[in-house]
Parts: sequence; structure tokens; C-alpha cells
Amino acid sequence: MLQILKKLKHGVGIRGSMLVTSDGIVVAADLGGDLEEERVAAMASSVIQETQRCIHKLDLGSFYEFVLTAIHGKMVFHDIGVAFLVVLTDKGINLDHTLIEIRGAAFKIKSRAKMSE
Amino acid sequence: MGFFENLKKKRELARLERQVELNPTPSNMAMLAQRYINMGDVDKAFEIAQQGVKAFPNSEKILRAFRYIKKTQLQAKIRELNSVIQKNPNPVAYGQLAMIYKDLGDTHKAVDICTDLTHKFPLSENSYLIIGEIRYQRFHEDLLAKDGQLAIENLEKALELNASNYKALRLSAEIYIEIGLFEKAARNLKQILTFAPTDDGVRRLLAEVEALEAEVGEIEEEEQEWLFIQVENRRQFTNIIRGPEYDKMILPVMGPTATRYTINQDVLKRQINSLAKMPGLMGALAMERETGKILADRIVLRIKKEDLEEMVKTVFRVSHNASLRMDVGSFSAGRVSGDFGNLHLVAMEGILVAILTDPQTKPDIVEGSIQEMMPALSNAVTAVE
Repeated sequence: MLQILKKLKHGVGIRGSMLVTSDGIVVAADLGGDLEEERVAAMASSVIQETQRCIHKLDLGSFYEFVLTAIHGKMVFHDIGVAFLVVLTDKGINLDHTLIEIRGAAFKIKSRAKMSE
Repeated sequence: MGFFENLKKKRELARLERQVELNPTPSNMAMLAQRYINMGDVDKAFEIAQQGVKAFPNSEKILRAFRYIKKTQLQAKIRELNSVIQKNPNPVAYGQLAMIYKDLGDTHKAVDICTDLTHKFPLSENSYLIIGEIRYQRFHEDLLAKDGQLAIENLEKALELNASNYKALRLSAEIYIEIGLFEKAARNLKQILTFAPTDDGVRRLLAEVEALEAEVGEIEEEEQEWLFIQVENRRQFTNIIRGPEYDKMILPVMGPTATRYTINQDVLKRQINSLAKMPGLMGALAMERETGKILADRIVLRIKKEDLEEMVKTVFRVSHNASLRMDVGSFSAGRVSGDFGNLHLVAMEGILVAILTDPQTKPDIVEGSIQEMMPALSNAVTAVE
């Protein structure tokens, strides 16, 4: 898993990524130097849980991807079943290209997780 | 290039110019800027993109075009500085490169270069100054205690290495005033006057600071952290400095003065109602960012307005909070995708717009509609002091 995250980080503008469960348990992480693992996990967990809760309340099922754009960067939360792939990127990236890389990484992680079941 | 091809390009340019004149949306402006780039007129492209950023500071499309053009303009300089750094690394080249990335808005890259600079030239104050400036800017954007503290930490480090750095002294003095630590602000302003005794702006500011210091009394240095947290909690500076030349000096803040807005609700209603013709629309609403008050809504399909309202408020709150805590600044847009379709959120000055669509509606279509709506939405909201 870590290998996939490391490879993902080589992508243009990707600052780091982690696999985290919706309750905030870190499965694997490869974050940049200035990103604190615990903080990212806690924030990711809060975004995932609260968003899921609201979607359930509207009876809309669940979400598989959340792309969040902020002034100085972007965050992508991608559901891989047992956990979420959380990716932090620079703000100037072309998200269309980066999303392809992220979805590819998510697919590989999902496949490996299935194989190891 | 043939005559006819040339004519065709000129006509296309004239068409785009007319389009921007009649309907200055971020998409149209980005297209016109791109056309100028293709024609090799980078300066004109920059001018258009700059106008676009000024009119639509939250539009990702125009911001991306602006950064791309600015980077194109600076590409030669970036290459030159990278080559200098490889052959003959020196603090000036590192500093210039970091400043270029800072001005391009790529603060992560700028900080990376500064970190490299600190490792290679630990006695250069440049890296601390640039990181201090970046944090200073963010402190002003988001009012987060962490940004203010990091700004001061870096600016003070720059001053340890060069006690006469004008910029570090001035920026840190401004922050000390904004949080209410007048003694430290006065100390830094006095330091500026030792080597720039004719700086009247600083002299006047110092007089104001000393008057406030006498009025407020002594504040312990240990309270610095608490003062920053106060700014973050109240979402406002303790004191505001007006004007770059300090001509209006300091304005003590007497009560909650976070920016207020007057909103033309009719315009918002028209815009939200106009979405009704969008195929696959499940619901759309516009609300006040600060209060969550609904300003306009259009619910089309099987969902309760109250539930959508709660969802939008909650997703915005957690996303904004996470963005600030993960050090990427304020939330500006989001797209939540699921089997249900997509929820699009756009945060603008004073308002938040949300559009929920079914799975058949392509996100590009919704995002295009949002871009089209932006001029009207921006005009509907006016900041009042």
C-alpha cells in the first residue's frame, strides 16, 4: 500500500496522501514534511463522517469521492471500501489529470485489499 | 501564415472580445486570455486574466489561467535562476526564485525553496523573511492564530540574523499592533527609525502606538499566544491599520466588525430559479455564509429542503474547518460524488451556493453553469464596512 502512496506522491503537485478509516485510524501514510499525520487523519475523518451522515439522512446512499478546493490547495477523499484514500495537492494543479492518477491508485489499493482478504 | 487564416484568427479574437464585453464571465475571460496567448501576446493575456481575477477572485478557471500566464511570463527567469542555483548556489538566487513562486501563489513551492535555502545558507535571513511574508498574508486572509504565530516566529528569526531588516521590522510591527501587543510594535518601529529617521509614516505610526500603549497599559509578552487566539476566535483583529502609508493610522476595534454584506436577494432568486431548466437538477440553494440563512432555493425532486439545507451547512462547516486546519486556507469549492449524483458547493464572498444533480448530469455542465452565474452572483453581494 505504501508503495502505491509513494508512487502517487511523484505526481505533479501532489503533496502527500494517506489511507485512513472513516473513524480516523491511519492505515498507511506518505505525507510531505510539513503535514502532521494525526491532524490530517482527524480532519479527514471529520469530513468523511459528517458528509456520510448528511447523505444518509437525505436517503441518498453514500459518497465515493469528495474533491475539496481551498485557497492554497486541494484535498481529495476517495472511498476504497475499508478506508478512504486522502490526497493533498497544490492549488495550481490541473485536477482532471491528477484525479485520473488518484483514481488509478485507489483502484490498485482496492484490488490489493481484495486479494489479501 | 496565409491571409485568410490570419483574417479568421482576427475575427475570432474580435468575437471573443465582444463576448467578454457583453458577458464578462470567468469562462469567457479565460478563453480570451488563452486566445491572446496562442497569438503570442502574453502581456495582453495577462491584462485580461488580471481583470478576471479582480472581478472573480473565487473562480478556479480564471485563477488557473492567470497563474499559467504569469508563469509563462516568468518562465525564462525561473529557468535562469534554477540554472544559477545548480551551478553556483547563492542566497540571492534562492530568494528570488522563492519570491517568484510566492507571487505566483504557489506558496508550498516557495516554502520548499526557502527550506532548502535555510539548510544551505543558515545565516541568510531571506528564507525566514519570505516564509514570514507568506504567513503574514495568510494571517490576513484567514485570521488563524497559527499563521500569525508562524509569521512572527519567522520574522523574528530574520531579525536575529539582521536586526535592520526593514521589511521584517515593519511586518512584525503591524502584526503586533493587530493583536494589541503595542510595546513590541513600538520597539520594532523605533528600530526602523534608527536607520530610517526620515520615514514619516513609521514616525506617525509610532506616535499612535505609544498613545494606545499608554491608554491600554502594559501587556505581558507571555500573553502573545492568547492574543493571537483572541483574533482567531473573534474573527477580527484587535486593531486595524489603514493604508499602506499609515495615513489614517490605527483604528481600535470596539466590537464585532467582521465584514458585513448587503445581498440583493432578488438577483440570487433569479439565478437559482434559472437552474430549473438544467436537466437532472435535484435541488439548488444559496445561503448566507456566516449565518446559514437561506436566500434562495429551488427544490425539484424528492428531497426535503431542510435536509438539503442541513447537509450544505454541515459539509461546508467541516470542509472549511478541515481546510484551515490542514493549512490550505479557506474553503472555496467542493464536489461530493456518489451513486446519487453530485453535490456542488461554491463559497463566494458572503454567500454559499449549492447544486445537487442526479448521476446523469455531467459535473462539467454544472460547473459551466456556475461559471456563467458568477458575474451576477458577485454583483448581488456588496461588502459594507
